[in-house]
Amino acid sequence: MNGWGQRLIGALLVAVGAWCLWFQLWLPAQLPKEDDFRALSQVIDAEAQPGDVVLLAPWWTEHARLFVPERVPVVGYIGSDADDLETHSRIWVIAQPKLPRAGMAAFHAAFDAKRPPVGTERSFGPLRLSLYQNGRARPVAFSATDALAQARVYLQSADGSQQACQWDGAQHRCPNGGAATVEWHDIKFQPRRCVRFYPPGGSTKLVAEFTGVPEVAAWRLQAGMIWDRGWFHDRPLSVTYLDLESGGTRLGGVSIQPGLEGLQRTLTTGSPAGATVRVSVQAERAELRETCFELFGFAAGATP
Amino acid sequence: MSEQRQNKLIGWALFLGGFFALLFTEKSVGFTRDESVYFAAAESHARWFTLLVKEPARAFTDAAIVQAFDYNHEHPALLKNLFGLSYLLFHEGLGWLRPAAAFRLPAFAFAALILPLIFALAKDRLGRPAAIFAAISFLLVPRQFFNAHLSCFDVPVAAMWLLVVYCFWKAQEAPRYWLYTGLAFGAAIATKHNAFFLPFVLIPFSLVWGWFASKEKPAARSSFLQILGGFIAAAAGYGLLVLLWGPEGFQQKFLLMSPQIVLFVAAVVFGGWKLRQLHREDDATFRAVAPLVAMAALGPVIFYLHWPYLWHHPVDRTAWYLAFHATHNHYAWFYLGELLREPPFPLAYVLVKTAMTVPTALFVPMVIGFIAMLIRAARGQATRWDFLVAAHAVASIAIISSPSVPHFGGVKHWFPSMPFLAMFAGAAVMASAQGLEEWTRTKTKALPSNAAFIGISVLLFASPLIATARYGEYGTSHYSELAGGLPGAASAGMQRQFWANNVTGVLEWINKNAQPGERVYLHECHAGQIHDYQRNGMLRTDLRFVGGPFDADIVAYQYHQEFREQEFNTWQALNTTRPATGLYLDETPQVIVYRRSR
Repeated sequence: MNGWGQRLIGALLVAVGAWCLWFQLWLPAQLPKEDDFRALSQVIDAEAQPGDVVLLAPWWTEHARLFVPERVPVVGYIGSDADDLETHSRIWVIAQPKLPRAGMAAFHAAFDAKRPPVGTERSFGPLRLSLYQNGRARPVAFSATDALAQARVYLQSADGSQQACQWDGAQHRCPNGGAATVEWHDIKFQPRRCVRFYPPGGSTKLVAEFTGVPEVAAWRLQAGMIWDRGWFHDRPLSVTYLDLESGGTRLGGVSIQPGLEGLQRTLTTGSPAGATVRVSVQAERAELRETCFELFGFAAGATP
Repeated sequence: MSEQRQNKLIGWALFLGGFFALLFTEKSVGFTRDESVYFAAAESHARWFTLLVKEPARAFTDAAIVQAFDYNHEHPALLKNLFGLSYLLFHEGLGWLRPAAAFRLPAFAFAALILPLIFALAKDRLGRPAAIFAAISFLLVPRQFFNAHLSCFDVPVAAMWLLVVYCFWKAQEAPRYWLYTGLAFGAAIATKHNAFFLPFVLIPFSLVWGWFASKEKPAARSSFLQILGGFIAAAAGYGLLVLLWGPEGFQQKFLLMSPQIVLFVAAVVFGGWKLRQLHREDDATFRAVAPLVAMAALGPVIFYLHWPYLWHHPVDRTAWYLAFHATHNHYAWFYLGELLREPPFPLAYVLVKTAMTVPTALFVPMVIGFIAMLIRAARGQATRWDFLVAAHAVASIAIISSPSVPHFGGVKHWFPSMPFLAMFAGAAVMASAQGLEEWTRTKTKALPSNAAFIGISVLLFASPLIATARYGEYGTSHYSELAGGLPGAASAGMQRQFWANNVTGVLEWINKNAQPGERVYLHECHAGQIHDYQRNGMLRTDLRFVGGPFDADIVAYQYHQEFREQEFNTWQALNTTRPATGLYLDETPQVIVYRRSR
């Protein structure tokens, strides 16, 4: 190596060494202290309204969960920047923009549409707190997770015969040993509070029947395989079918192929007040087809 | 003081510095999932050694051996024997150390050995200062510093790999090192299976150097080719037997008096005889080839002798051991926002992960040093040392980069590459210091000798030292400046931790806040780890440890993307989504503690 090459490398290494040292000294100063979190959570506690939600930016900054009042849900998962959060009318964003690769530009590109800010951003050390109106929210007239206790749940054979599942105060216990109940589950890293709804296998369907539902302008059925079940594709697995029907008419459905991960959604036309709505699940082979669903009925006037 | 004596002193200073740095920081490093298995295996081995002293006849029976060595026979016994003996001596015998430190002591020695070995291999080519830089830099990589504490095999096999290469290099000029190469190789394959790849990286050097050394020396060339032919014939013989009998038949018929043994003995005897002849004919050719013959002859013998588990059933148990690693499971691994669960894995994984985990102040000189070597090679200026070190810098990285090789385990599977990359870093720093010294000489008055080198070294060591101090105990979580640190890595969708040792970050809270007899679930920590935390005084013994969140009052969840379902089960089971406390490194959740909502 010639002299100039060595000098160049020398200058480069000095610059790299200095930058790395700066980084190691700079980073701790960008981290919030507990007092910052406490001050921020006091604001949320004082000002949060029913229907509010907290969104984390970057999505993984879950430290805030320790401090945010539990009555306000906290959302942060891969992809949560783009979550419509359609059941929440206002969104508190707790941001840590000074963290390396915080990606706030990408966050705002995914988040900002139809979300006007309410008031100004507030700072608590390196934490930033902003409130937004959620223009993507829709008034929810019906939620299956809220109404599950009142639902009639049963197994339905191909010939139409039914075997009832018994409500025990927490879940509908079915004759095949299965159950339908509201649980937290991971659907491709996303926490969902959904109805556990495992297909019984064969041509038999598991059905949840909701009677006397209010008038609904549009139905959103969303379902997915829990945990890693969506990933499996290396053995004979069945397609899982979820159907939504009202008054004997099929409104729509979701089919989940083996290897299909994540939440699958469908938006259908609504139903009049007092209708009976059924959600069913069926898969020829029940192995590794653990499914969870949510059903939202959006009120009339809401734009689907 | 003679130069040789000075070098010895530097070597010892590096070894002792490394050893005591590990010993003094040991207490804060948690027990990984594997380590607690090795503690238990080591303890079991130690009981066998006690039996060997008390009832030698019984100790040699297969029943006694299986009782002691069957547990964790996925790995050879050398390290576990040493861990166990150290435990017997320093904990049970002398009572000087807590159990974990006593088990770990041999691991510290193996890790510390890397430093003088780097120095010894690099000093003649790079000069002492650069060799010292390279040696120290090895332990200033936080993930390496962390792993160097563990009673595991990843750092020890890096040490053994380096020892074999050092002996092989030294054998080219010093007597007896050809024999030491064989002994070191035996120790290396008795440490971890990575070492089985070593011959493939050394054979080309033996062949090329032997070929050139025997040029215009017909007798030496003839002996060289005969040795080569002898081993090729033996290998072909094995291949033929496999073809004739099939793999199962080959295994079943591999008895003490069998063609397989005859082939091995014949190859070794023939190789030894021809080697003796070659020694008389030409020393340089002998030095090139002899280490390989020693490896071929001594490696299998040491491997067999060191592991009592093989004594009564060498073939079947070796075959099981090799098959286990050839068909190892793939564990889920988070990489650039994708959960990798099965091959093919991304080809660039190892390079990306290395760039994101080795402190940038060390990674950049490594890359520069390596590129400078490639330029020298392109210009025909590279030396044998350059090629040897480059090959071993690349070997483990290339092997693990194969898209079909399991990619879990962070960076530990290519640790054997890291000492060699450290040497390239030392070379780059030395070159840069020379350039700066030259430049300053033209601008101001000349700097004192080595001032630029020391200045650059201190600057380059500063940030890794801070990082090692900050993340050393949570080594699997460390990410470099290039990655944007741990926050940058989290945003990039990288695995934030593995092996469950970060639970140490919340043990103090659990000890302080759990009610007497309360039910605790330490997610991903198996019973062995819990036992080890308890016997080392890090976890209360009155608590009841349960197997899942639904039976627990307190849950310590290890944040991994592939385990999110367990966190949400915890929300469900404990009726809360709000953690009670947690370990958040640079804001990234690592271990989150939930308590049942009353």
